[in-house]
Amino acid sequence: MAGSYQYLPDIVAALEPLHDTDVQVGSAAQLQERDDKAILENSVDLDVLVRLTPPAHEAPLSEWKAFLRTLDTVPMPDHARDVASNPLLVWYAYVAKYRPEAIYASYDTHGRGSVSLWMLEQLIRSGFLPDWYDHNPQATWILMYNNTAAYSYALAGDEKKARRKLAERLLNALSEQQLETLYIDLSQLPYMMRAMNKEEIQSLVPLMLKNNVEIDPREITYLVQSGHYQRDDLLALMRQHAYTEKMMSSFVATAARLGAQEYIETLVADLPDNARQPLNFYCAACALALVSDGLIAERLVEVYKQGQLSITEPAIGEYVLSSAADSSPESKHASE
Amino acid sequence: MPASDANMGVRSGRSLYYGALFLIFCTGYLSVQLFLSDEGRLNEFAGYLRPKVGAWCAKGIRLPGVPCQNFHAELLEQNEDESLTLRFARLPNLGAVLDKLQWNGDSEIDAARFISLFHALVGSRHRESNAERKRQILLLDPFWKDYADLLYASRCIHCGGVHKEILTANLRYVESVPETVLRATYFDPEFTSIAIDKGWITGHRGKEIRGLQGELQYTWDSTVAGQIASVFTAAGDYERLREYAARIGSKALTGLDLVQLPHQIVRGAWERDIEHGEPNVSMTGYLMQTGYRPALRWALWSEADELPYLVTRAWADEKASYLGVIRQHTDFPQLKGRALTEFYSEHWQNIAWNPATRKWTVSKG
Repeated sequence: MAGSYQYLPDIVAALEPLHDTDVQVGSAAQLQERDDKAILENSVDLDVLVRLTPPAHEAPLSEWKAFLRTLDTVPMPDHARDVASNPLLVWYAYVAKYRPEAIYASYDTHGRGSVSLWMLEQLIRSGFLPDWYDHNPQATWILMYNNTAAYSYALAGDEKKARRKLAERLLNALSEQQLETLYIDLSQLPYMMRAMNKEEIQSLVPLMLKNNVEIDPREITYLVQSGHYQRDDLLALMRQHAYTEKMMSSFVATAARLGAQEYIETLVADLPDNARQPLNFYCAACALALVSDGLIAERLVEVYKQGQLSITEPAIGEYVLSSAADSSPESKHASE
Repeated sequence: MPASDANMGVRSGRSLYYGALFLIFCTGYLSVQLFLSDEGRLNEFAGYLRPKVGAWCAKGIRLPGVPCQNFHAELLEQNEDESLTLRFARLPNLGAVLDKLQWNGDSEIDAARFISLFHALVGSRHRESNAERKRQILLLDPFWKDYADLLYASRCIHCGGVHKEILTANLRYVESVPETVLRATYFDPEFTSIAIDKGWITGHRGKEIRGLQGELQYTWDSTVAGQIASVFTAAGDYERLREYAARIGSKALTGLDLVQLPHQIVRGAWERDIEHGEPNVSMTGYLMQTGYRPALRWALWSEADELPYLVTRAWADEKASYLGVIRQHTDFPQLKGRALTEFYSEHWQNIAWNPATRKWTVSKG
């Protein structure tokens, strides 16, 4: 445009990236040095990052494994290594694309390898490693623990066969002498149960009770919903795996519904401050609203604090909270 | 009119025309001078142009006098003693960081380096404006063409943000995708919807994937959850629908007529919502008017909001909705808040569902 040409050099200069001279770098040299140290400790080392060079496609496997180990050593703060923010994901994908064997060879369930379970999951989710389970000796362990892994297995071949194979893997793993803890994601059990007969289904909880397994007590609700198990077995499983802290304790409501009265007492005691858990899958009031009738909200807190609370269980898993001063509540309990 | 007069008229018209052109030129010239002579405005203008130039360069368009940079060559040419980490860390904001980045490479390795550097830099700067967001998209977008698989895998997809925005836009725009990216869409129920709409997943395979997602995957998107559920309802498979609803809550029943569903399915979805801190007011109202007492109690607890942490479960703006459903489905006195929960605590034994009036009524006991 007319009149702008003589400004072009200035505009181009302004288009250039900012020069260091434009940046406030602090006044005192010492201060600067301290700042620099802190920055370097809390940043991804970009100088290493931009110089990363993967092996040639035809390079031996050992070179690819070495490259993965190199990725593991790029200096960065711990939070940056998290899969949600790891800037190296693209490199793991690059290796998965050109030499997936290196990923398999570097994976270790216990985090001793250069490829973690979470990294493996990210790669599977991104469409790489479609047949990972054929190359991984720890496949059963991963399939039971990780939902994405189980889903990728289910997707791969004949749907019915995959369901049965997965069910067999679980049954076999539970029947064998386990040297290491088997983590089971119970949310995927209904999927597997469809490929099991009645005896197999009913054997699951007893096997879980006597074996070296780890489960999330919140997920026992899936076993409850299936309607296949004895209340006592489910409560035993719940008690075996209950979290000692309240933070992730939404299972308490499930336990109360199964008729464990001690959990109702816990919920009422936690009512005034929710056991100082503001969120995190624990809500005493929510659970009480679901499983108990009678006194609610502030009145319930008051009666509890006065030591006057009476808890009765007219039916399994249904509680009546009333003041001990009142007459017997069962006879008057309004039915649904 | 004589010929000379006519010529004079034409000449006079031309003079006016040239005069007007000269005036416009002068005004434009002076305006530009006034605008660009101010250093602040000049920088502002350059800031406006910067992302556009980056995008042009990425597309291979070259402008005279405006150099395109190869980010990698530039970065590696830095003085060995000068830490790149420090140089970037000292930049005052994300905008200044983005100024430094410009992709102009042509190899896959170079692309991986750039994407990695980009995520390292942007990940460490948390605040971003809409303009910066757009610039991030412009910087990463060119990689879709040749390296869609690497770009896709370079960030956690379910974390959302710019990354998911880029992938969504590109998946919607393109006609086909590499095999790896297509497989990746199976793992994100929202992307699966795009793949089905595009015809990349068809027929039985689409239903099979949706069915498996209903059993083994999660989604936050209620429209997509409804699409998954529709596979079960179309097949009359209410058992799998029940399990799905109990696993992801009321989202699974989006778009379905609750009246037509087995009651147990709706209850399971509602209870899952309560336990996970995502209560659904309208479903609470629906269950109340079916005579389901826990729904009545939940509405009362939530409306009262006496206990501070309940705010994190039943948001303040939902209180009025809860009061609305209580008024609609009960014959309780016109109370609210603590007075209402006191009323219930006092009279709960005399409160029962009346199928005739379809209200929770208080009998005189």
